[in-house]
Amino acid sequence: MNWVVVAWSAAAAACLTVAAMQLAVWWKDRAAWAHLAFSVSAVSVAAIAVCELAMIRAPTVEQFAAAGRWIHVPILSLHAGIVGFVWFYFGTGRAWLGIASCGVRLASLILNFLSGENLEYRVITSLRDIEFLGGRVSVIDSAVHNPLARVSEISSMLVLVFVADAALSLWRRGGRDDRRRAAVVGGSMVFFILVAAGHAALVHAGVVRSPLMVTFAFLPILAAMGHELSEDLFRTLRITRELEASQLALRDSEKRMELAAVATGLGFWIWDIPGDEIWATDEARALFGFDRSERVNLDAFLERLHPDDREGALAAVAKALAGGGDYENEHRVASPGGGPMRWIAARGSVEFDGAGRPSRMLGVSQDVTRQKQAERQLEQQRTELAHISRAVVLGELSGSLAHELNQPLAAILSNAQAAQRFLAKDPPDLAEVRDILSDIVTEDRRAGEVIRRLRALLKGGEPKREPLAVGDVIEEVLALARSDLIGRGVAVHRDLAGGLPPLSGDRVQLQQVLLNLIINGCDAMAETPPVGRTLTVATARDGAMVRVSVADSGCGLADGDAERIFQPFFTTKSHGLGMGLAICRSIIAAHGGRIWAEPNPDRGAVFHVALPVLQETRL
Amino acid sequence: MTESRPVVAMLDDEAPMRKALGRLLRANGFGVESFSGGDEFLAAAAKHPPNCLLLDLQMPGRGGFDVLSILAKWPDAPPAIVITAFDEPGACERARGLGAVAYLLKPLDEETLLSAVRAAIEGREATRPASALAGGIDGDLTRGEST
Repeated sequence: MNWVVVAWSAAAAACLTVAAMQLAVWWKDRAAWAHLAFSVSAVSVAAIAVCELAMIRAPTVEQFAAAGRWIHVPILSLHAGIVGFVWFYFGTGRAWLGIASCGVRLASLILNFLSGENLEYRVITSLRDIEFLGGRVSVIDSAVHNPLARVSEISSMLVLVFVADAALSLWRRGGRDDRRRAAVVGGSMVFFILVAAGHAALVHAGVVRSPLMVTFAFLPILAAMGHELSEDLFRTLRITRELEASQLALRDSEKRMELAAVATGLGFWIWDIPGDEIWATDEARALFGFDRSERVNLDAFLERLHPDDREGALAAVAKALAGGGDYENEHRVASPGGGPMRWIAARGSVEFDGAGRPSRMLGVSQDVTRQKQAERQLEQQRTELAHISRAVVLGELSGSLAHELNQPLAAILSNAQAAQRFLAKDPPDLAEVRDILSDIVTEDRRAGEVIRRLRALLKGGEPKREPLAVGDVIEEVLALARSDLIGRGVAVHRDLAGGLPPLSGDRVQLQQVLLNLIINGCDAMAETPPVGRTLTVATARDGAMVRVSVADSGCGLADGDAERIFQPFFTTKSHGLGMGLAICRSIIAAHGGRIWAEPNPDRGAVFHVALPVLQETRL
Repeated sequence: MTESRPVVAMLDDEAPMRKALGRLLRANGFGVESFSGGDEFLAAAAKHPPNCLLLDLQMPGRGGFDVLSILAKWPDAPPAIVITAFDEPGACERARGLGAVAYLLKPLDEETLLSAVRAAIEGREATRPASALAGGIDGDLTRGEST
């Protein structure tokens, strides 16, 4: 077996194999020019191997010279392949340098065919057989060198500079992958081109007696190039698999989202703001009664809304576009076919372009009519419950109220009977009668005022928000409870802050809450000695809220009662349902406020009610 | 007010009530002294006891029952007629226990008032338990009491 033949043939075969593989890759992806450049390089190395083998086994000078001449063809294609690979794979090569090196190599090929035996030798006189890898190989014995061989060497120098420059630029980019490519591919190219060119120069100079071995110098270069391309292929494969997996997950997610959207009646929409065009899912179109093919823009959307809700919707859109980008609105939409209005809740988010201009809004809308109806029913029940509770509270105050009514009635009766007496005198005391009639009018008005307050508290109906001065509400309630407080021997101390801003609230409901707190305070002081029965009603500004506090000097709160007393059916009294404070909490919550209890530092308990002031309250 | 006219003291925290009852009593020949607080009355009564006291129960500070308790200890206390706008359960019995000669509910008509006052002054029992105001708010507003 001739190992020389085996080695060169194996090298050629390996080169052709990898060339075919990378060519196939390029064939699938025509943009993968680096793979084509690699294939060209590998085929060229295989051809070089064939030429080298022909020179090794040449029996005559002519055959040796011919092989030495034809080897310059694959050297040119290898040159072009390497320049192309660096150009496409690194993306950092200088074009003029690559073209110049290829041009000089082409010139050397032309000169190779036009002068002497070939580019290296003007005349080859004789060959010699030497021992190499256990076999006989032909090498130059004596020859006249061709000075034009310098052109080939210049071409090799130019390609070396081109590769080194491109690798350095790639390294300077600083990326981890870039540096690895620069080191592995660029480094191996520079090193082994130097080795190949150096070895060839020594052989041609006759310093080294060995066959040309350009093939084996380029095998490591091909290996480095192939390794990097394979890495890229594997990376691409992995990314592709991940992409497929994520696409699958995305499809699943989309499917789930679609199912959820259908199940919950969610409609998605995207508003292209500059183009004023709204894309909407079928569910979203159905919510607003748009056909599938109907063009939708902001005006078309607004037209579908209840006239009273258009301004609010437009304001919400303007706010989202001008401010933080969040859109939230509830609006009524007429049912298709003229049915009752339906409530739609919408939420969206605005996207802005690089210049900060709103580009589009993505959002979702949902039919919340049922929820609204349930809320309304709940509100009605709450109102009715509050009404019943007021009646209960007034029942507790019946004695006091009877007193409040009987006092003016008694004064009126006595005045009227006295007037009869004064009129019966001879002469009648008309001055006294006039005075009496004036007092009767005053007392009658007083009785009328008591009845008016009672009627307001006993009246049912929807809560009505109005601006309220908290001090007035407190005085009205204290007037109603006045006799009760006196009867129970409770002294009322007022600690009312001046200049408080008005509240927004339902007068009757807030009176109800205060009445509850006052009666509870009195009940808590039933066992307190008469001298110590003090109820303090205080008001204070608390940030954006006004706080009303009712403090008693009664039995105080047991551990844990501060929260439990607001739960329905929880009571510490022998009488009562335990609904009073629960209803108070629901009333205060509906006003956007807060009610809580805490121990009074001296004795008893303090109940605080905090309500938002009018300016911060949306009516 | 003359020496010959019997004097009725009124203790009520409400000025309109004092004024109205005062007119009625004066028109019927009584002398009238008005007081808005228990202490003020007790101080005055200790010096010049009235012939009769019309006493309101619900008053801030020293209430009607307190005044009755103090009068109960006086050897020559004036007879007290309680007049109240709210008939609290047990209040009548409590007032009687403390020596009140009559327990009347507001509003009360002239006849009821005068007969109770006269009865008290004459040392007789006020025996007339008539309804003070026919068709009144509570129907039976007056509970005539004897002691």
